[in-house]
Amino acid sequence: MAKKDEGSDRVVMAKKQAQAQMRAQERRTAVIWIVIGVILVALFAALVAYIVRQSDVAAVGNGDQSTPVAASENYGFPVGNTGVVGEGLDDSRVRVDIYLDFMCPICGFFEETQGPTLDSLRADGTADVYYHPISILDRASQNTEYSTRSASAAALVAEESPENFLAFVKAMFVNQPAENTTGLTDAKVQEIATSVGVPDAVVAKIPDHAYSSWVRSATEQASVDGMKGTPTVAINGVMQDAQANPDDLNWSAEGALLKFVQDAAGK
Amino acid sequence: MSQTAAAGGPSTKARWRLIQPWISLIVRLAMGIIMIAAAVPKMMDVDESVRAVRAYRLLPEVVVPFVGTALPYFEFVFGLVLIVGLFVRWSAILWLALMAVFVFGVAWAWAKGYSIDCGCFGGGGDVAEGTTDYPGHMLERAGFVALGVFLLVFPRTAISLDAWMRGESLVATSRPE
Repeated sequence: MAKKDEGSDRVVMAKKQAQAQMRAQERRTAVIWIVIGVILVALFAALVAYIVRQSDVAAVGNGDQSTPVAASENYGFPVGNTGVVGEGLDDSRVRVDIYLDFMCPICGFFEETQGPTLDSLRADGTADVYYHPISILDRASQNTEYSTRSASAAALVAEESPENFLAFVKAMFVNQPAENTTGLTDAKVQEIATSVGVPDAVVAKIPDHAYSSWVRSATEQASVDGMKGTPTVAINGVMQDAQANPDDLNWSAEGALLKFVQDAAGK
Repeated sequence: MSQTAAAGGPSTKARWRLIQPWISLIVRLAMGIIMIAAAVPKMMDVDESVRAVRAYRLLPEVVVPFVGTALPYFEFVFGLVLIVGLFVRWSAILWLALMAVFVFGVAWAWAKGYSIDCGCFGGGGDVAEGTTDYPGHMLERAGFVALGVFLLVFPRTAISLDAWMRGESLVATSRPE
């Protein structure tokens, strides 16, 4: 450029500058439109995801999907002093709701340590126990959705083989897989069901996962009701959270569950 | 392009001017990846995301499902914006505003004694007592805030659409003087 005289140099510079400015303007316009487009697409996708999810979760109960009639309004399976789902219930007893996920290790620990206490409170007519098999740990079974599959199997057993429900739940915890594994196969779940006496005709339906959608709705309802992870215990409809509220039941303390339920029963 | 203006000698200042856009680039990309890493698991398990939002017990139930569903999409787009380097200064401000909201959320849950997982990277919702890690989350948040502050102070980044939009080449590292 040094060879050119100053005048044309300036003209070239001005031209270049004008060109650069125009290019910048064009690019800016293009980028802004692209950004607006991307945001609109994302917003649309979010809306679609929201609407699809809402209708999915709401579909249960409208008769569109398999809903176990044995379940209570808040998606629990009530077990009274006879040990059979839907039988021997009495509203005057203490109501205990248990929210559990078959993949959750603490749920296994709960069943192991508190199961016997709960069984005796139920058998002697102090409390009716509502079991809520829900699914919050599907992410912990390497995409095999063990939580949903197992909860669906439990719903099936509660519905079609109610006298074997309790034994099935216990056996599922005895055979509990470790978190972040593929969980138990459907075949293994069937084997467990057979071992506790579930009839073959019912066992055969386990791989259908007919209650998966119901389990999803049950999980959503539990969350809306204030379920605090699994296991959560609710006494007479009140979710117990000892960490937030010192007066609440801390079931991991020895004898706490027994005392709490007996106090609630006025014994 | 005049990043070699201080050619008189490789002074510290000149060197910083040369290096800073690349440091800012790393910070920017890290922030973008963090956003997308936060978004993807939530998109994969929307129910979980909704429960995580609900577990904070900060929002009314009517908006909880929508916030839980839409949040990951928003995070995903924001992550993309960071990665391509668009509106970097504004992105840094938005990032800090988001962190303020999230820190408030975690602090709220902590103060209320809720035993919840923050749900920051999917998962979340309520967890068993004793497994919440509030100090850890706060420390993590502090690191994220530091990233945002750095980008706010040094928004000039290498390889950004911002520079391209100004009519410079895509790899330009300097501001037009």
